[in-house]
Amino acid sequence: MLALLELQGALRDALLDGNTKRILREVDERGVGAVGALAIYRNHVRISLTAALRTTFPVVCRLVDERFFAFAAHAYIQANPPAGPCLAEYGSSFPDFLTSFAPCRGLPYVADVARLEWALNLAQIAPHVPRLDHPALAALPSVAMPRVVFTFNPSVRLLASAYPVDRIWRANQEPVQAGVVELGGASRLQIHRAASGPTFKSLGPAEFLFSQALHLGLPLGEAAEGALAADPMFDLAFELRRMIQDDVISGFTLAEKEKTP
Amino acid sequence: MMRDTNNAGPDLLRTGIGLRGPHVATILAERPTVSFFEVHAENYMDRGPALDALLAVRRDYPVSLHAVGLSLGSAEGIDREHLARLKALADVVEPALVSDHLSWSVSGGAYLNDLLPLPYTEEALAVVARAIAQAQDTLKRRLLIENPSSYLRFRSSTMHEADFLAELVRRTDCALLVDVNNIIVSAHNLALDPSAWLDRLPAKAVAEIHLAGHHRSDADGKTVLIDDHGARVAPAVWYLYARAIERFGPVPTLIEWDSNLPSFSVLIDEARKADRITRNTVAEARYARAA
Repeated sequence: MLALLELQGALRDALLDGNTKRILREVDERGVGAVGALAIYRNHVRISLTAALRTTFPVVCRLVDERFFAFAAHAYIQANPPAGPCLAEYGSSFPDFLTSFAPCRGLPYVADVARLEWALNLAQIAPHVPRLDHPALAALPSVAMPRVVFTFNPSVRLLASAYPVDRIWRANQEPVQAGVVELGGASRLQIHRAASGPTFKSLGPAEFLFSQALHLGLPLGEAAEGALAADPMFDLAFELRRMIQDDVISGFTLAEKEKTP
Repeated sequence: MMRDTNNAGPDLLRTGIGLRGPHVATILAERPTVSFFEVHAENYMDRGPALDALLAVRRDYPVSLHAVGLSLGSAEGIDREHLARLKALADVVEPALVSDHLSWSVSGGAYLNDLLPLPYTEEALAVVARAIAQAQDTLKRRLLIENPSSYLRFRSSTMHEADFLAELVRRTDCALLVDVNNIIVSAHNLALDPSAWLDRLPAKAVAEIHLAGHHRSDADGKTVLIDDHGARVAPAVWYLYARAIERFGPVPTLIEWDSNLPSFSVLIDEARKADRITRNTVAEARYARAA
């Protein structure tokens, strides 16, 4: 008879890896019987976790079809079981898993669609935060503006892909329209939660660079320089206004003044 | 709060209903006369729109928090971080009841997403009692412990599940959530007697009853009852429920439904049925005492 810690480890091995050798000796044969009972538990773990992944990654499931999705999900669950019971938080490494999952090699855009779905999921479960204190920002003297470091709303994610994941995602929403999505064209997306729910919008190259720099915590001056270098027509005031209107920026601080020698 | 429904109007359903996402809009629009709703705590731990919806329901109804994630039976100990999140949620929701299961889900840091069975041994008793005490200390309230549905038992078990629960009550002063459907399911699958099972539970500790549907699976020539919360309550469960009310009195009862979720009106219908059985059983018991 195993001590409780070992017994639980043995049942875990049976459920995740199908390795029932150690646990079978521990189970009473009366009733359902050991083999049948272990199959019921194993099935439940796999089916319920696959369902949780399908809820978070519905478009990936549609792209690869149900059976392939279940096949990929089982391999993922075995190698990366959840770390906690809040299943909306399960699947953060599923996109990376799909990148390296050999059977997925013919569908290189699938992992990026998964990244978009994960970002939408994070937008859905992100906590509420108050909107930006706009008057406080407007009251800053203009010389201080380049030193402004923005805090982003926790629902915001930025995603760049070599594939048009936005068009692929839209083409796979209910009701699905028959048609072909051209795979040419990169995408640069800002994902966030709007009043109506999680959403995303496509940004231009300079706008994306600008958002990315700010999201990394670089001060406004530096972020603007980078965006202007990429596109001299970059409209800083317009872009800032848009980000505030979208509730993408939720706060700000001032970076230390650079010490002049 | 939930036991005292004497002042409620005649239409109030005493039986509560498990709150599920697709029904929230109907509930907020129609304000059905239900005495309480119960939710899976883990679905509301992120402070996003799901919690907003729950708090909107909470403004008009008592809410019970039913957790699945404390893993009270894990030998490696209770998940403290998860317990802290449950406490934070309870502080916001101010629930009437907080419950979790006599089971475990975590091994080696992996959450296995099932309410896995324990061997009913002295060692397991010490582990679970310690975890319940810890949870009650943190939550600053009595925790209700639910009997799980089981498909296997361990050869090392030395105790009946009901005796194990009774001993937990004695050691930790926790309360019990008796899932009558789980008793039917487990008793069938483990070849035990469901009535005797019910009769062994410490009646005074029972603070809530769960009712749900199960399905029969006839694979490999053996009939197995699968607890999927995906159908109406089975006749055998209603019979045992009447017996439970006879023994425990009119405890708050809940209708749970998870897979193949029907329209909200079907759940109301099941709740009415539970109300009727409770009323008749209590009346009969009074009559028997008077005679």
